[in-house]
Amino acid sequence: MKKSTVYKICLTGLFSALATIAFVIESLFPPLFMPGARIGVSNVFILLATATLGCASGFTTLTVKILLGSLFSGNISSIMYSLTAGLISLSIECILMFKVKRVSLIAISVAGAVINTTVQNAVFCIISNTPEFFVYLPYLAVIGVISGLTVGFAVYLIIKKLPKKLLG
Amino acid sequence: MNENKNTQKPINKLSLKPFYLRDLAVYICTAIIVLLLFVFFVFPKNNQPAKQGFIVSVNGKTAVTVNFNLTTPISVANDFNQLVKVENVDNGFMVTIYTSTSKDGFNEIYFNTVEKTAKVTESNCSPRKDCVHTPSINTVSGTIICAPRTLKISPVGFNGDGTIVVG
Repeated sequence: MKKSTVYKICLTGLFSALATIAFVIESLFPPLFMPGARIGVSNVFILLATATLGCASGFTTLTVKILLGSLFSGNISSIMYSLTAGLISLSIECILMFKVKRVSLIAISVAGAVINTTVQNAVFCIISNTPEFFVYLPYLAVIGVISGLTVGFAVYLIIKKLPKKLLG
Repeated sequence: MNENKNTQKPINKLSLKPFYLRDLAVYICTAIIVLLLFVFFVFPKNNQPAKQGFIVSVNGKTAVTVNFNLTTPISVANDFNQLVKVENVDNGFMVTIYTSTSKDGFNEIYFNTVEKTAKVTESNCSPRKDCVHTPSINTVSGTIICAPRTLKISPVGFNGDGTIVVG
């Protein structure tokens, strides 16, 4: 049974809301080990939207999460580098998922997390004119691997448990 | 009824596996990226000689200079005399930098003269307090940044006359 457009829109809205809430809650907690490091729980819903509904839903969820999440958490200046990194990493995830194929969700999540972390902090260093911060990039990339594994595994388990009719 | 031309088929739960052979390519590429980042950004920094102190800049202007070679290491810029408080503490100095004379916003920085390190110990910049959670830095490498306050702490070298080495 093919999903209707209305159904997809509703589900995309749901994933967007969940991703935004997770982003805002996570922004209240201190960073992991070093500034800019997070598990990225909101990425669970972005990857879930992409895997179950397609790239358009994934990009919509990502954009809504970053725009609304930054607004609600009071960190509007982060939109610039978060959006850049998010769009690039999600593009790579979509290529791996729908063009390359036969790549596990966990590996896709790891690739996306590392790219996201690296690009986000590189853009932050360039915009804030603080090249000294590049020294944290490798450590943030390692933390990105850990968060990517966590998020990927979580999405894999969720999809395994989802009712089949939700996957169309 | 329009045909669904979307070729992005959702993932088939039955064929979903936690590992495919192509994952190895992804993991190897990721490992190469991480290794290259270490090679370019960490190893060269660790081989640099230690500098003599730190500089604290706010909005691009030097607020405080710390020269561990001097008897009185802490020096406050004239423009920031009303906004900086220096206290002697165990093994170092506690420097508090306020955002205004009303002293609403502040960053508290601890300079350890024995270990020659710097760390932001307290701040009311934001709920996340990234600057407070940044590990302490030494005179070899590292930077502490407080983005909401445009405050930056970085190691610097000093010439014989006390001026900062540029570059």
